[in-house]
Amino acid sequence: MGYGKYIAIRLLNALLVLALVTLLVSVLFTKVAEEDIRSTIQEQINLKLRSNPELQKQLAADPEKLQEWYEREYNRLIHVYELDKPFWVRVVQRTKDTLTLNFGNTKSPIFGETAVSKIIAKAIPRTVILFTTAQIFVILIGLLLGVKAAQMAGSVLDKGVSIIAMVTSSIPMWWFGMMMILIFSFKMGLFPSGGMTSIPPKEGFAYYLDVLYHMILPVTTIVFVLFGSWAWTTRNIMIGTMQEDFIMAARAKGVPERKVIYGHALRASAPPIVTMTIFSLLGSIGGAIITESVFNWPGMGRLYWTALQQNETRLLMGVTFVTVALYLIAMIIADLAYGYLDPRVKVGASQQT
Amino acid sequence: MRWVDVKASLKDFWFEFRRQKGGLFGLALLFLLIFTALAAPYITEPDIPKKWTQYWEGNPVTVPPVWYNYFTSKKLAPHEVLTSNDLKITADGQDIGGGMKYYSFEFTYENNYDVPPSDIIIRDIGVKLANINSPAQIVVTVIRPDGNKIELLNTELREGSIYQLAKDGKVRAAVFQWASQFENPEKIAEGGETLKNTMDTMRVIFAKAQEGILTNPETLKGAYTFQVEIFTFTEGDQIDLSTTEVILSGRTYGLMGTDYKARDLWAGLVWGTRVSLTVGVTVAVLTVLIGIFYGVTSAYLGGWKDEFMQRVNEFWASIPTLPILILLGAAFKGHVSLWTIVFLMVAFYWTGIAKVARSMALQIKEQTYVEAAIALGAGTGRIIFKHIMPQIMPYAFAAMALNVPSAVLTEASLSFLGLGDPTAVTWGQILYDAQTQSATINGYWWWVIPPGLAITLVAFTFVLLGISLDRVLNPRLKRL
Amino acid sequence: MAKNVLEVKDLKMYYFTSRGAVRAVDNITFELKKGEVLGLAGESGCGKSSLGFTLMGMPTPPGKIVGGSIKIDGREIVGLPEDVLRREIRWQKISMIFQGAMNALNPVYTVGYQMIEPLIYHKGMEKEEALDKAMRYLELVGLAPEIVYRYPHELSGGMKQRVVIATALLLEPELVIADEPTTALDVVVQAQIINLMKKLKKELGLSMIFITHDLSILAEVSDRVAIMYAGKIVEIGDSEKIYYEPAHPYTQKLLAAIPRLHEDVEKLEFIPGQPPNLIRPPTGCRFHPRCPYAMQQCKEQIPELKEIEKDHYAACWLL
Repeated sequence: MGYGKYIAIRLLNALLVLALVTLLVSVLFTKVAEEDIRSTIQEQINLKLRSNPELQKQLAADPEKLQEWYEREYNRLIHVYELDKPFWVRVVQRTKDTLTLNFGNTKSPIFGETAVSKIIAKAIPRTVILFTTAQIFVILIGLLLGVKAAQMAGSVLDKGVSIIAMVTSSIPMWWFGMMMILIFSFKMGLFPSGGMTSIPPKEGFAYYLDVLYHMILPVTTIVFVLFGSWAWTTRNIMIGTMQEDFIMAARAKGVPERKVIYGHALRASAPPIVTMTIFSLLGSIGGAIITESVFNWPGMGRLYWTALQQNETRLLMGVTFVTVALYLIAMIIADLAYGYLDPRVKVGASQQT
Repeated sequence: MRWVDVKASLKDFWFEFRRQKGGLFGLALLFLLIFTALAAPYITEPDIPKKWTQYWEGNPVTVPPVWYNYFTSKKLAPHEVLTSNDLKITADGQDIGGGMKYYSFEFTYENNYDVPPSDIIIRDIGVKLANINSPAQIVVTVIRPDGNKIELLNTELREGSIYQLAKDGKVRAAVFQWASQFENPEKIAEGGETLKNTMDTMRVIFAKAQEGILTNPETLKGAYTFQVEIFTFTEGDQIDLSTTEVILSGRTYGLMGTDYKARDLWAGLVWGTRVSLTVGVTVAVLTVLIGIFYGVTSAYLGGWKDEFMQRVNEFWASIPTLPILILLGAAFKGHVSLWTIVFLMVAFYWTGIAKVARSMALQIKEQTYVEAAIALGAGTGRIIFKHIMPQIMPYAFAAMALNVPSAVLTEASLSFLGLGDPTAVTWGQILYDAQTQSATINGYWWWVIPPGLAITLVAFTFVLLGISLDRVLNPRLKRL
Repeated sequence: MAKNVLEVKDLKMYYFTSRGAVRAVDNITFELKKGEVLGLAGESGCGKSSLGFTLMGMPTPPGKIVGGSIKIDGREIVGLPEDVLRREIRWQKISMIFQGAMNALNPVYTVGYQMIEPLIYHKGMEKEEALDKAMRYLELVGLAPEIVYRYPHELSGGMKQRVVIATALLLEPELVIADEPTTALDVVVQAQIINLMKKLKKELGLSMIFITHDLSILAEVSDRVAIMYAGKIVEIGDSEKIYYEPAHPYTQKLLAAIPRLHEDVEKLEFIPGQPPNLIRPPTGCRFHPRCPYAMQQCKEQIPELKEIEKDHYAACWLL
């Protein structure tokens, strides 16, 4: 099929998903926002009435006139907020807004901003730092353990890896975070219970150290819950690969054992390992985000939690859109990696000479 | 498939499965969970789900379990509820002249603990006043083991009056005044009003009468007798002591302690089993069935229909589940029922199964015996049910077991974010409350640890079962 | 002049499985002279591939060499430590041509990369030099040298087989073991490969053990033929003699079972019964349950290879 075509198809797929999600977000948003706006309108009318005692006196005398005035004001504001336009027109407008990353503002400031796009822009890098660092550890530890377990299949280490994998993949990541805080922060007072920095934040080099210090518990949580299944998947795929004939052939040719394991077996296992673990990785994004909120890490997770708690619909819409977009980007990267690692995709179908 | 075949293959299956130690362990856990779920109304009370969302009157708020006392050096007072049978009624409507009647009862509390009860609540005294403007009077006194007597309360008694000694301002004033005589006058002068307002009334009542009683009270162990006297002034006033309840709010409660709504967490844990098992298994079974149906149909139809179905599958599978679930949950906040969540999860999870089922069906389709069957004139239904399905079913069972953990975890995650069914008792929801009430930071371990362990246990059970089933039903790796 | 490039004496290799020890190679003795091709034939599961791997000093796990000796070019291999085997014996003294059906080529690396591996690890060659040599050998087996840059999935079955052959010859080993090189290929390609092997035998003076279950091919390539049954060699000798005057009943049946186009055949011949259980082989002569001439002695005593005529040995109580 060729690498180019492969990537093109994956990209198209991703864009389609993004489009659908945007539509869904817009529809939901428009619907939910409508109720929001209607209550805002009520408030505004009441405020106008209360702040103008003259008007109050006038209208209090004549109930019919009050009714009239009220209706007039109501319709006026409906028009101002464009609620009189048909549903689908509003949806289309919102879709355009979403695609241009114009999400509006929140009711109260978060991270010192009210523009949703700015808020999200501040949150993303913080989430990326946390998640990426954790992932690197997960991959390194998982791969090493998995390869070792495959080499010593049936041994105590191997059985241990299986059990650890089964237990850790049953644990809710965010709950484990709560446990870590309970033990290491509350009980032992070794680590801060949350946040990214101390208050007040430190300066210069100490600032970076401080952030690292705050990263330790959340990163440990993520790594602990995820490394098990990485190791186990690697182990299973490696065992399968090691039974292949080309491994025996490599040994027969006199290739040193180390090269056989890492050069041949692991390298040949790479495509299926990448596929299988991408699934779990993308699945764990959800859990990681929730975990973030447990640690009060000022990233996307915290935004989710805040948006849900404080009913910030605009923020939630924006965060969902961005999360889906990031998710799809990660998927594309994974597809790219897979295609690159497996020559059958990279170079294309057999060409018989 | 004939029944004889089914029986034979079940026997073979069980023989193989028996050798899987992990699987047997998982099976044992499963039975334990099912038992707990079914026996919930009997292990705890049958009306738990109804009263779950409310505040549980009569229970202490956020206290650890009773057995915590074994692990701590400072013993905490347990929770006790005294009904009129436990009270010593010394006067029941004695006529003391002038239309006044005298009632009194007392109870003795053996304080062998380092931390006394957090509150003493006197309530539900049956009061019927002839004239609501002429209420009765209630006097509460405590006689301490060291002989000291404190008049705690001297106030009006009306219908429905509830007296909480720890929270009542008058009690506080009385206790403060009494305690001041033992305290260092300098400290009192230093502390002033703040000292009075931040004083832990109960601790002081039960403290040694010495210096430091207000700043650093040490518990005085021994028997404390509480005397309650009631005076009625109007002819026709009736006092009924048989409904009286005295609650000594313990510092511990129950098997698993309580949360901020004074709910018994043990009950919550037990009842949560029902939700986890039901949701987990339902989602897994439906997901696998739908997935297999889709995959096999797609493989069987072949051609452009297959291509199309695959594109739809791929597309649907690219949608990240959790963010969308969160979005939908938030949009319908408060109106989400458990079945909505089940439906949504199934709607997203079937895609993975469909893909595998399809490739399995394709492989089987290519086999010569299917070609032979078609040549012999077998119809579509027969091919699917007699040839394809029996080969896929083993995989299906393993897949069902393996899908339960993610369903359980997803439901827990949604509940944890507050998006779950507000009327259901779920572990995720308990943890949601814990998180919003900062249980972790305050060290309420009994609130935080058990629900998570429960979730892990259910997930782990099905992981064990699933992997063992997979090993027995789909032997792919050479047994080493 | 003719030196023995391989001497095998009383070789035993068993697979130690959870169900028992499978006696795949049970007391095998034979020699191979320099420049000679020995065909090794037998049913599936008779132990011929096992023998091939054992000669390389790498019996497939859970197999282990239990006894006997293997001398390649006069040097004893049995008992040598693994790293000596790897550095000095494998591929340098004895190499293997794998079955075409096997995945002997790693799909994620180019053909060239995998060919030059032995050159780099054994001779310490530079990559350029090694690729050069690889390309020359590819030409030798009739392939375009550019193949070094291709991936295995881009080649046809026949091409892959030739690559495997070329790789086996790279270090110019004393002895090459060809393990069913034509089995998975269609007849046309099969013929091509056979011709290639004949050519290489002539040009390079290869000493080879050619393992196959297809007797009709062996005649083309081999100088001598050995017939294996149930882990033992039951007949061995000059190939013409074996083909025209098979002595052992098993060999006779095998040859009779080959369908012949130029003869009128009423009924297809076959050997009744099933291949023996190698964990608990039959007592005495392993073939006796299926042998039409079985006698009492056959059930009790294991026959030894006896010289029937010059360069023709068989193990049977009939002789």
